[in-house]
Amino acid sequence: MTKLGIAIDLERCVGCHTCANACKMQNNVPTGMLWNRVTTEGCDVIDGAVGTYPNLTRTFLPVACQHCENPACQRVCPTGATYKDEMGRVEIDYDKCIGCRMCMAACPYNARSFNWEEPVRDVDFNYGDAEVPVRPRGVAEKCTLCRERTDRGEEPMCVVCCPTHARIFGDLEDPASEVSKAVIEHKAHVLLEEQGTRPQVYYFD
Amino acid sequence: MELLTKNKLLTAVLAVLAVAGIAAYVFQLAGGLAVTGMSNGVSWGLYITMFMFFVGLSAGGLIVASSASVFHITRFKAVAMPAIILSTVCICLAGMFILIDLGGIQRIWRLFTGPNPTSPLIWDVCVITLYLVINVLYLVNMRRGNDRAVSIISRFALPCAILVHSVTAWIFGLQMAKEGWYSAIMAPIFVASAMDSGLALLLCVLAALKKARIFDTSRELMASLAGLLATCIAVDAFFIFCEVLTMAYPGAAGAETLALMTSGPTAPFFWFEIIGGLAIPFLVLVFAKNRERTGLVVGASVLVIAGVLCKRLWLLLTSFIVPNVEGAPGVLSDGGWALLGAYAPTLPEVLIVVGMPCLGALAFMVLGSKLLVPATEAEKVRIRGARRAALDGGFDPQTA
Amino acid sequence: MSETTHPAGGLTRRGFLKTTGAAAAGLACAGAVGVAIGGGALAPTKATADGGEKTIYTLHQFMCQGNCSIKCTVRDGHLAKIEPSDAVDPKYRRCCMKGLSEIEHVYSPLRLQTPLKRVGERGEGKFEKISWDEAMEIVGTELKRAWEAYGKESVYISASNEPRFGMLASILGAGTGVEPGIDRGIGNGVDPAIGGGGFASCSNETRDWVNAKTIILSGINFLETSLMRSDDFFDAKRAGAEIIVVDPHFSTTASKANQWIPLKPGTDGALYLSMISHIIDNKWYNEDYMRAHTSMPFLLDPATGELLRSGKTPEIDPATGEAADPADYLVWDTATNAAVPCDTPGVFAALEGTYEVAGQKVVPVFEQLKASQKGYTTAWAAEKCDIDQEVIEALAEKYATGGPAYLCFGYGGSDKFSNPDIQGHAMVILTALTGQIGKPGAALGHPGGGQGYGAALAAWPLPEDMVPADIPVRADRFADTDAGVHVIISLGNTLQQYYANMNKTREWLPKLDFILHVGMYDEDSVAFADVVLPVCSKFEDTVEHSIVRGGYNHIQLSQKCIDPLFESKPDYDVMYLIAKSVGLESVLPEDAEQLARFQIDEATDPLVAGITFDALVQNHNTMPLAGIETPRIGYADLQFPTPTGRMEIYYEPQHHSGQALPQWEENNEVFDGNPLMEKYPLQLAQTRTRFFVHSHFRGAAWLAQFYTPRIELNPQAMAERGLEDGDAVEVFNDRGSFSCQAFGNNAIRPTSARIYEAAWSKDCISGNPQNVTNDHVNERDADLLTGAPIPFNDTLVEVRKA
Repeated sequence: MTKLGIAIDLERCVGCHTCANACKMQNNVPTGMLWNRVTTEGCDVIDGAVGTYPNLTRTFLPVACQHCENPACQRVCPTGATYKDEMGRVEIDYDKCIGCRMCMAACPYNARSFNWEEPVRDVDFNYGDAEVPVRPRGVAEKCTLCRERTDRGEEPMCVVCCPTHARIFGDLEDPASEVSKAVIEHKAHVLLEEQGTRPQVYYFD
Repeated sequence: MELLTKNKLLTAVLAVLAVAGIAAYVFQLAGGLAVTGMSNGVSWGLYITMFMFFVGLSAGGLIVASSASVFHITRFKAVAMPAIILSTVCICLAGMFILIDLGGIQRIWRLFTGPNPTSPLIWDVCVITLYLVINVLYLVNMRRGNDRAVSIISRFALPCAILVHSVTAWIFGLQMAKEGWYSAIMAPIFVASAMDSGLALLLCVLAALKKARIFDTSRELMASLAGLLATCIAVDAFFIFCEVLTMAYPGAAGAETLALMTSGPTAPFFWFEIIGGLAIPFLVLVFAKNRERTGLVVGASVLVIAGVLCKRLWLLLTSFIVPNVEGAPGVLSDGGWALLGAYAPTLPEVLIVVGMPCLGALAFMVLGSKLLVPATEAEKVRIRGARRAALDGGFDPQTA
Repeated sequence: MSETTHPAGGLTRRGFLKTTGAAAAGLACAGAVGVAIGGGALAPTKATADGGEKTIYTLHQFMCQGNCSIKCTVRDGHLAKIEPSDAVDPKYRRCCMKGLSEIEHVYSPLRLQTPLKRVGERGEGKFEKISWDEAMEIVGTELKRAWEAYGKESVYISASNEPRFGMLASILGAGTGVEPGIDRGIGNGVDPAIGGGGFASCSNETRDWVNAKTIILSGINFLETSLMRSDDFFDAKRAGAEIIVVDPHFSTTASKANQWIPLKPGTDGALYLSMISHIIDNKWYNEDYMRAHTSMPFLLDPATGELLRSGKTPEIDPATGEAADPADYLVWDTATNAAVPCDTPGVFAALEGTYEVAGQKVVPVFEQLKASQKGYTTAWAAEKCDIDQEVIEALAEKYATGGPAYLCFGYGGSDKFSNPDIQGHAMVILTALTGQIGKPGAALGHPGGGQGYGAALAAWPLPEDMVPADIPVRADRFADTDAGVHVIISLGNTLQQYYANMNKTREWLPKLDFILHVGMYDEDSVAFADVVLPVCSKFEDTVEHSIVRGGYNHIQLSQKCIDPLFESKPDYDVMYLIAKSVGLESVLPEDAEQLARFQIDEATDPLVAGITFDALVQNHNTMPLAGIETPRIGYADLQFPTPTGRMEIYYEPQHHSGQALPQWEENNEVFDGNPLMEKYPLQLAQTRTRFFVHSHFRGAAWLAQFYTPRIELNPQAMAERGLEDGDAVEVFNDRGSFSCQAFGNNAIRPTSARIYEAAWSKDCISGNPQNVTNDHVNERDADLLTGAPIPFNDTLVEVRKA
């Protein structure tokens, strides 16, 4: 059994949004939508800071689908469009999605986006990976852990492009993998652990 | 068609609004759900609110009617017919709002070819279908005067009514991600709200029918139903109090959500529900004298209905205000750097939300005109004939 | 609209329930027809059979100094995917969000599509489309007219980010320059001492940071401006380096550093001056280094400020015919008690004391430094800079005694004040005192882009008489000083970006005879042009390979991905056409590929050994330079390109202005006690950001999704002005004003307002940030290597609700 996941070194994350655009490009994500987004924790503005000048802190937090081992979205999906695949990824079969948005209400991480209208792109062609399906209006979408790339044995685009090498990708079931070692060595944590979703995206400082 | 012809102005208004609602839905089909005010941050809005609301409204009728048979409260039998018509219309509306809310309705057949048994939505589809079937059977058999069948059906109807509200509650109550929803008491609250709003609607309808001289309900029966309503309000209030206390007491995440309910953007709805929807109607109806006065009963009932609608709104929307992960990708909307959700219904959405109940009202008037007048002898003959024909497996030109 | 979501804006926590826009919408629902129910059509993006998909290795643009090698996927003739090149060592596999945004940026609706001719007033932005032939006809006629009327030096080529027209100024005999008033200023104080050109590139490359114990980053937001080298920052930190950021704002780099020193804007010089004093007072200096490798022991006459020389006859440089500095400075030999030439073998020079030479009282430079430093105590600096005295003292101690250390600055942080040369001068003296240079882990300078090995490529031989004109006035002064320039060829968005006080620019530009704009996007400068020529991106080309670059530790070659979009042409082709318009194209290679081949194949730099054009093509257009395995360590032999080979920290020519040794001097606007502060209490900081390179990438929608121009204030400053997030505000002073949205951000110093530099007017509500910026010229302009910097950040403003 494979359990693909990512560990993110928050110390090395400089909030550059390269992962966001790498993902957008690779997955042909339409205008106004991002599957992967870098937030500035506790701040109302991009690159804000917590505290009172000059006693300040700042933590960038990249958030995408957490590929939970116990995915709340998969549980509530009425048609089985959302499923946990054999590689441990949470995926969506867009053909089966009826657009009820149960999954969006269920996801504790707000990782999902909905195609409220016919997807619009800034350019008049489909960019990114040729294998990535084009999503129609009325379906939910989100990070697929670059399914098409990881199926080919490649790393997800956000991992490849991260300028600071803050992202480690691999099989969490394999104790010898870099990602497993990083999780153990740095006592990595997950987001909203109390939700019991057992995410496969880890964070450490 | 007596109800329609007698109230031409009302009929016309309802018809215009219903047509506008249908047109708005066609517009939505063309443009997608983008024509609504919903966004990734607030991914459910008025449609799901109305779904909850109408599931609740449909309860009162069926529970009153079936109680008549199950608990042998014979005086309720008198209003069983309007109660069941009301119930049927409301559950249809509820189902319609679910369909209206679907972004990919063209793929709805996937519900039947690959249902996911762990999804509360699948449970709801099953239970609502069952509930509708029971309502229709109830109507048919009542009209035919088949008391035995009615008695059997009502034994199924009552638990089914409880179940339909519970399952609707579980769509929300089982979502751990939403602090304001995730609660074991969600199902009892839904049942209680369903009872009081459903009864309140029934009382309003009965009063209207009486005024329209279509269907007369005795003052005693009205008072008796109003008394039941007061009890339901009390139960509802008690459950809400239990929930609020549990949220507030630890002073943790629940208290934050509660603070949003009581002082955040959805606070007006919360306080209207507590004061207008529970406290005032209860204080009115708790006195037997007041229950004798139709005006007060109807006024209290209207307040109860409005209160429950407000409750649906705050229950649904409060949990969308602050996402667990602010600024997560699924909060992004308008292509902007949104960290939180925002919601305002748009014109098409409002038209649909107004139009569909108008359609429902028209349906009630049609069904009421047909079914509330005592069956004529000719009709009874026809019905008997039909029954015989059905038994014989033959063809009766009279019923064809 | 919602209060909660702003287009790429911030948010408020109110207004969750928006008032319904239902009534206003007035939608004709009933009329809505044509229900489109698609569904099921989930075909992947797969390329059509005839178009196909191809992979191309090329390079990304220049200005950011990221020097990325990238791998592009072209599908059906569209640039469909960009990723880091896998043909380079993993260390160099990089492409940031700017590079990735090219997917959209290249096709942006803001691209200049056809040649244009002005039909309205200059600045109005009214144009009509013309053909390339018509455009080049006008360009040729106008150039020749100017040549006849005023001579070739009446044409000035103002070069900005992209495009790149290396040879045009030489061919036309026009004036040019890289607009030295921008992004350099500290270097004016550093480079005279170490023989640099004024930019003060860091002496070691950032891969060496891991060897440092202390890294001081002064006003440089490295993790944004050198994003592609940010790995080095974290690797150094992990290796135990203490990284200290000196910045008025809590920058991204400050938040990732070990320590942040929030100082008052424009007071960096005071901080480093006081560090000199503290190091001297505690005798933490390195006497051996000072004696051997600096001008600290040189004798000078305190009365005249002149250094003593032995009077050796200068040698004549055969190349230039000019007299070379004989470097015959005297030092006091403590063994013989006599003044001897500094290069006397076996001399042990005095650093301190007062001596007499030929009846004159003389002192070593170091003695003079001690005297000139008297007032610059850490207590004084603590007040000037608004930081604790202990913090300064600890910083000085760490730098002087804590092992190998870096002093870094650059990318326009404290450069953009009126006198950053004083900061630079103080920094180079700190280096001279401690010997923190020329070894692993110790260096001084601007680390932007990494400052790795860079190879020199061969220059295409032009006829000897083809050289740029020497225009004695810097371009940013043209508005004030008649330099005899009547024609401007503006390459990129120079007219907005390189000139402060834009209202003055607006008055000056109509006086010109002809303005030719060559660029990619509809930037502010375009509106002033008489003729506009559209160039294409580096992804579009007419030949297979056209650009070769000695990038970061590599030689990189471009490769065509797609045909030029619209009617645009590649840089080279436009340069060729301009040369042709005046009949001078014959001196140029016929196409850019020829030029690129020449530049590589004829290069003599040993770093390029083994790299040829054909080899590059075979190696996916990128090859590492020879010998880059170890990080570059500059001045490892401690020989500096100065006349004496030493760090010459005494600036004799500046004695007349009192800056032979650095003396504190207040800024022009931003200083305590300036009465102007009562009217305009906020300092306007125009800082660099990761999102743009000056004004380049302003048109990229994929970057605008994260940031659109806004003024950021400390929440306290917002509250004082009754402002709320997202409010439209006017930022103004006596020079002008502009309007944009305002947002509160704790990271901003409460007495400052911040905006990322070079915002386009079309992205502001009205006006342009350059309307308010200070164009003051320091009186010491003529003394400074590259002239006085443009003090964009030495600007006071007030902000009010618009």
